[in-house]
Amino acid sequence: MTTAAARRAAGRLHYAWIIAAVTFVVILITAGVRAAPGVLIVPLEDEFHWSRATISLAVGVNLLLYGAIGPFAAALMDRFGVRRTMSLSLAATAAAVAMSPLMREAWQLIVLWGVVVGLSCGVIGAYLAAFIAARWFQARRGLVVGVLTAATAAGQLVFLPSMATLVTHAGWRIMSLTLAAVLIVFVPLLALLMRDRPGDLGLAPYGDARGPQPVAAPQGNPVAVAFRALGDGARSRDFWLIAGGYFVCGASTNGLIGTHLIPACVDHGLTEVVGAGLLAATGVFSFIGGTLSGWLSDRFDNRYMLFWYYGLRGLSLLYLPFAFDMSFYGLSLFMVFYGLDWIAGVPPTVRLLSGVVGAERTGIMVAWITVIHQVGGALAAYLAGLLRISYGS
Amino acid sequence: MLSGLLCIVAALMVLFIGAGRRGRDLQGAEAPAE
Repeated sequence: MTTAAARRAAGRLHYAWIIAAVTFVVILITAGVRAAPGVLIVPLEDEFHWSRATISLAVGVNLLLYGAIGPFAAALMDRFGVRRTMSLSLAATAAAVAMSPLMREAWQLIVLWGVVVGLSCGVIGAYLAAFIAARWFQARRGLVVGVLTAATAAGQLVFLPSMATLVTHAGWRIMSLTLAAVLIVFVPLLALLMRDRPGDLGLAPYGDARGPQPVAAPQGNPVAVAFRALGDGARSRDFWLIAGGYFVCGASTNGLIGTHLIPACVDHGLTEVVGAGLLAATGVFSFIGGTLSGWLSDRFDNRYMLFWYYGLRGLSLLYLPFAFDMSFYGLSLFMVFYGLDWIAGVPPTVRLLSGVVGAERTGIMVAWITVIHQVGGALAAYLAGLLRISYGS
Repeated sequence: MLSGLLCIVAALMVLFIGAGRRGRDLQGAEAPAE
């Protein structure tokens, strides 16, 4: 599609909204791929008699690479272009998923689902929402970050039950091939519609009254670019305040509740199914909370928003031990609130960080604080387990 | 309990972002859409 054709196709709609829509679908599908190992574990165990530890190793490699590649992936996109990088990553993911039915040995699972899917999904990683919003939007930036972040929750909600049904009725090979087909169909669409920068279409970011601004594409090794951005950011006190809050965010969501809620439910006499149901419900509420928070972040002081999010989350965690003793309904109330708050901190965090490091570096720096978020999650998951063993609750 | 207190500390910490600068400056002045 030529530039003129792209403009005509967009009509009166600013092309930034088409970019946001395409990115939403990419994140949605990628979330489906990332959720797939959850439904693959049992059928793989049954067919190949691989141990849970072997399959978990592949998932662990996937998670590690997914998180670690982020800052370099953002630099890669800056260097080689968003369209090219995203299309290649999605194609690599599709290839790995499509080859899954051919697996015979455990190392093939580690290579395909651990290394290839981990890296390729990591390139289209957690930082992408902020990267696209900062590059294409001046106005409504918070809303776009909120909706694109919520796309991950939506992807799990759409794909997880569909994949589980397919595995049950048609087998894991058909499920993998269906997922690969969805990915393959979307690769040419992505290549056709995605653009690197608004300036490529002679446009300014949405809501930018200054008009198109020339942007010099960053040169140099993406690894060095990513570390240089971190080095510059680390000299700012505001960066550490934002990153510190995000560390606690990761510790209190993925690390503590995401990992330990189900075993804690079992400890308090509830079943695993009830715990899993409560955790799944947070997905629905996090979609609502993330989108609403994005909308609010365009209107209110983001520092106060974060203050309320973290403060209320803290109070709800103080309430949690009592919620376990107040029957299922007390716990449901906790999970509704926690779900609403789960990703609500992302839009104000991204907007504040964007103000500190500038729009051009937002993608890389969000990827770096996402690494810090994951470290917080990992530490909390480990420490909570350790405390559970030591004190029995 | 411990994580609850940690969240409250984080809540207080984020209030110091941009101390000495105006909050709206941090978020970048936005031009009206369209």
